Order: sequence, then C-alpha cells, then structure tokens
Amino acid sequence: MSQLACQNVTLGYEGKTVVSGLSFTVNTGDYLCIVGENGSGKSTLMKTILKLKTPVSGQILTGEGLITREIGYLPQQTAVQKDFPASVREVVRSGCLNRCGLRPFYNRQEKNMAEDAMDKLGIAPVAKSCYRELSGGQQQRVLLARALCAARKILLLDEPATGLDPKATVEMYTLVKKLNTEGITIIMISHDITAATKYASHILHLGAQTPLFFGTKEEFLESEAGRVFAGAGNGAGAGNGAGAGNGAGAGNGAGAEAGAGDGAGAEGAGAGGAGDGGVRA
Amino acid sequence: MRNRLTKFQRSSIWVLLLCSIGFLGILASGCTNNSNPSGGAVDVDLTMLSSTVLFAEVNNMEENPENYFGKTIKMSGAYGTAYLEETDLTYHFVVVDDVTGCCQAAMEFIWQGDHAYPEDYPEETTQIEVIGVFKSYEELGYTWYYLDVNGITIL
Amino acid sequence: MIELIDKLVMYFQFPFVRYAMIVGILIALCSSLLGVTLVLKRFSFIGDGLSHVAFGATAIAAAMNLTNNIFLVLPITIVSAILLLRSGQNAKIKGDAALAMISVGSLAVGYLIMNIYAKTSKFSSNLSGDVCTTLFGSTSILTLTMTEVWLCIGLSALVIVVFVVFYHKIFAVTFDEDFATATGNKAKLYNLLLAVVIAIIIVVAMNLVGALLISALVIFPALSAMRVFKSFRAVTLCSGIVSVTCAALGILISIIASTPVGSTIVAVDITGFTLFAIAGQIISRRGLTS
Repeated sequence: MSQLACQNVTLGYEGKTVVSGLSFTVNTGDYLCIVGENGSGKSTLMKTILKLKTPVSGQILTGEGLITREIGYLPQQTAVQKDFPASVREVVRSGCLNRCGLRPFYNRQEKNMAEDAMDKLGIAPVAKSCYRELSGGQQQRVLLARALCAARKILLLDEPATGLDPKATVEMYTLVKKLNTEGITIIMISHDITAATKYASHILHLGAQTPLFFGTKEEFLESEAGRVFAGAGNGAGAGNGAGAGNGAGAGNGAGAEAGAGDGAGAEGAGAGGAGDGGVRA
Repeated sequence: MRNRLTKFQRSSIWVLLLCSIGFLGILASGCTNNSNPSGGAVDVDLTMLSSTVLFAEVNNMEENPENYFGKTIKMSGAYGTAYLEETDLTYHFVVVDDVTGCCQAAMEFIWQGDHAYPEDYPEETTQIEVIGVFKSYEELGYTWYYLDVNGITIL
Repeated sequence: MIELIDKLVMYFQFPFVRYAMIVGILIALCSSLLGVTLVLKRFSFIGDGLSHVAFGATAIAAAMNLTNNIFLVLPITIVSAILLLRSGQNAKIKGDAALAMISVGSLAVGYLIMNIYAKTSKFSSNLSGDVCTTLFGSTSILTLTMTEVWLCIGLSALVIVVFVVFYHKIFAVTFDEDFATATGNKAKLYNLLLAVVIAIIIVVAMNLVGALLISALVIFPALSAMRVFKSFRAVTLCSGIVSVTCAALGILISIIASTPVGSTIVAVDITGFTLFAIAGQIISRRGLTS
C-alpha cells in the first residue's frame, strides 16, 4: 500500500544539514501536507523526492510500481516563465511529454487529455491566450492542468497558493481535494496551516534540523507541536490550545464558509473565532 | 483544432509568398547561365561590379580558373608590384581591396612587348584599367594566373 | 527599379553569389530557430562566448596548418558548449563569470597564436586580414569552396531536422526544466543536444557574419518575433521567417552597395527589430491578439 517511503533521510545543501533522521511513508490516496517554517527544508525535501536532488544519507523508496513518468509536479514559478511567450494550450500539452517517449508529436489521445485538464480547471476559454497575460491565479491553474496531464498516480505541489488572492486560494485547495477524492495521491507543501488541517489526511511538520511530527491530521491537532502551531495560527493563546484544537475542528466545520469569506488561508484570520482572530499574522 | 488566421496573418503570408517567388525567380535566372556575363569583345567585364563582388570574383577566378582560360577580361584597380629574390623579377598586379579594407586580392598581368620597369610603368597605387586574356604559367613549382595585356590605361 | 533587377540578375550569374545566398539563408534559419530557446533561457550571451572560443580554435588550426579547420574547430566548440550549458539554470550565476573568462581568454590567446604563427611561417600570411575575416565575416561568405558549401548545407539540414523532431521537448526544457525532469523526461539529454546543435550553428555561422556578430544573428530575430507573437509556435515560425528575410536582404544590399556582408545583415536585423517593436506597441494599444 505504500507508494513512497523515506527512511532515515538526511537532507542538506552547501554543506549545511537541513533535516536529519526523517522517516515517513505515504500510501496511495493519501493527502499529505508538509508544513514548517521557512528554511526548514520543505522544498528541498520535495526536490529530493522528485530526484532533482540527492539526499545526504538515507533513502527514498518508491513502491507499487511508481515511476517518474506517473508523477505530476507543480513547482513554484520561475521568473523566466512569467515572461514566456507560450499559449496556455502549449503549456498544458507539455505535461503530456512524458508519455511521448521518442515520438516527436502528441497524438490525439494526449491532446484530448490536455483539453480535459483545461476543462476541469476552468481555463478552456483562455486556451489560446498568452500565458504571460494571465492573472496569477489563472497561471497557477494552467500549471496545475499541466501537472495533471503528467500525473497518473501522484501529484506534488510546492506552495500552490503563492501569490493567489483568497478566493483563488480556496478554489485551488478545493480543486486539489477533489483530485484526491478521485484517487490521486497528493503531497503538498504549504505555509497555510489552516488549510493543511482542513484538507489533508496526513501532516508532516518539519522543524529546525529535526522533523517535529508525522502522522494523521487528527493526531497532529492533538500533539504538542500541532497545538502550538495551530493554536498560534488561530491567534488563540497557548492556554486555550486544547480548546482551540477542538474548536478548530468544529470551527472548521461550521465556520468554513465564514472563514472562507474572511480570507481563509490567511493565517491571521482565526477559523475558530471569526472576530477574535488573534494577531499572530 | 486549427486556429483561424487573422487578417494580418493572412496578408503577411501573401506578402511572403510573393517575395519568395520573386526571389526564387532571380535565383533561378542565374542557374541558366553557368559561366559569366558577356558583352562585346570583352568576355568578362569586372569594372561593372561592386567592390564586394569584385573581390570575391578575383578570388573565384583563382580558385576556379577553368572557367576563365582564354577569355578576355577587363579589370580596374590599383597598380602594385612585387619583387621576388628567387627569380630576380618584378611582378605587376592589379590590386583590389575587399570592402572592409583589410584584405587585398591581386591579379597579375604581363604587358606584352618590350617595356622597362619602372620607366614605362605608372606609379604604384595609381588606378589603372587593363584588358587581357586569362592565362597561366608555371614557376617555382606553382601555377600562377595572369592577364596577358597589350596596354595599360591610366584612369 | 528595372536596372536594379537587371543588376541583380547579372550578379546572380556568379556562382559564388548563389552559394552565398543559399548558405546565408540556411544559416540564418538555423540560428534564429535556436535563438528563441537561447533568449528564453537567458543564455543570449552564449553566442558571443562560443564564437570567441571558435575563433581561438581557428587560430590553433591555422597554427597547425590544417587545410580544413572545421575538423578542429567544431569539436572544441561543441565541448565548450556542453560545459557551459550543462547544468541549465543552476550554473547560470556561476556560469556568466566562467563564460566571460573563456570568451575573452580565447580571443586573446587566439590572436596571440595567430601573430606568432604569422612570423614563423614561410609565406607571410595576411594576419590582419585573416583576423578581420574571422571576426567580422568580411567577404568570406562570398568566397566559399564547394566543400564548404556542401558542409554548410549538410549541417544546416541536420540542425533543422533535429529541431523539428525535438520541438516539443525543446519547448518543455526551455519553459520548465525542473518539471520536465521531475515528470520523467530526459531533460539533461535534451540540454546536451541543444548545446551540441548550438555549437554547430555557431561554427557554421562564423562564415556568414564573423565571430563578433553571431550573437546578433541569433537573438535579433527571436526578440523581434517576441514583440508581436504570443505562442511559442508562432514566435519560432516568425523568428525563422524574419531571420531569412533579413539575411537575404542584407546579402543583396551588400552586393549592390559594396558594404561588408556581415554588418549589413545585422543592420537589417536591427531595422527589422525596430519595426516589430513598433508593431508590437501598436497591436497592444489596439488590444488585438493574434
């Protein structure tokens, strides 16, 4: 059942160790959210999983026949791309490249897949537009459509909500959740602890040098680290931690729409207490 | 799923097509005649050429001399000489520069009859014009090409 | 006007003019196609650096008295291209200093070698002429031998075929190399291929415009196309057409007006770019999209 397993992995770059002793597994259909502060090694971990970097020690195993050709990836945007002359259709179709092998051109099936992905993400109307003329949210959706074309089993997203306004952010998360329910494993890096606790099934919390937590979402909310993180994020005091933890559960359920309205994804807004959102910001 | 072309794209494609056809026509016209422009007693008149082409043509004549043997060539340029110790002879040239001025191409000429150097010959670098027949001779183990001329016209 | 056409017809009687046209167009086409990728990858200066390396290699070949120097110049340039382009984005920041060193170093060492060689050779070669020709193109394109013409045609055909077959892969690697690698494409291999192809083009293009002006041939058509067109396919096509047109015009003008071929082509390219930039402004103001 395990699609991906990290065993005692140590990551670093330029001689500096960023994470050590990291072990976790991801099963098919999981929705794993990787959280942690800046510099805790989240992007490095993702790049290592994608074999773009090699771990200092330890190993990353893939199971259930997962090969790189079945991975979809939504990286952070580079400066190059923001100015690139390419139509949306061209960008999305490039996701199908891993199916082409040596074949120089896309076949009908791949072209249809690209159209489906664009429909699914609501960008079919802008298929012929230039990528650089789209808004930030639309550009992210184009890249997500591309990742979908490439993905058959698992989707890795690196802070997909960067630069998106609150409404676009919610749409993005909802979309990703929908894909997860359709059977695609999700591994997502996010700054947004609220969204993480709301949508994910598992949470990996990286801290300075050592991983702080790995487990299911529920376990996270109960744990020390989780409470501090989620509690601080909700702006409630540490003392209210336990209450906030449960309140967050309830608050997320009931106040979801309100939270969304107030700009979910922004850490300042407290899901539990709409008005009381403390100002951890 | 072909996009429909806008007016701009359509008209630009037409312009391009017409230009290419015109251009290929000009290119093809050259293919009919493999040798060189002719006219009157002079078979090849190099004085009509722009300096870019002139330089290349003098070069060409030395690379592919078969096309030119026995033809009457008319050429103008600067007069220059070279003296070789091995033969104790002075050689006479019509010199043309390439457009950037950094290279020269020289066509040797031999003035038939009895003429003394330097008295009968013009000053160095004078612009001269010669008409002569393209020939070759062997010396020092190399083949040299020259124009067999009957007179030098000073321009 | 008629006499202009007459003159052109006359000039085209000369075989070397026809060869120059054919080779010039092929080179312009190849360099503009790859130019789009180079510009987008922010590697525009590669053309300059590699051409200086090629100049240095040419100097070495001259010193070694090789009859056909392309057999030395091409491998050296290919190796340099691979080293410079190897790690794509990662090497970019370190890469620009390395490139500057190699570029200037080859130029200086090349010129030094040529000087030393000129003094020790039996027949004094026209040193400044050779240097001038290699750096600025001069009339070298009008004095091609048949071997050189066929070599150019062969290499250009190879480049075009490679470009068409690997078009989508080149796009993916240019747009997002990380994604391409992550999703299972052999991005490193395609980068390698790009490096080799670019080296080939640069070596061949040195005949047309000389080492110093190659960058212009590579980047101007691409930049012109990007001012107006919005999809990668349109930009590539336009870039090719613009480049071919400017090269053809440049050669024609230089033949008639007695100007150096290389600089004339670049001047026409610049004019083309200005026109496209203006057109781009007009189009965006009117809100038209292609």
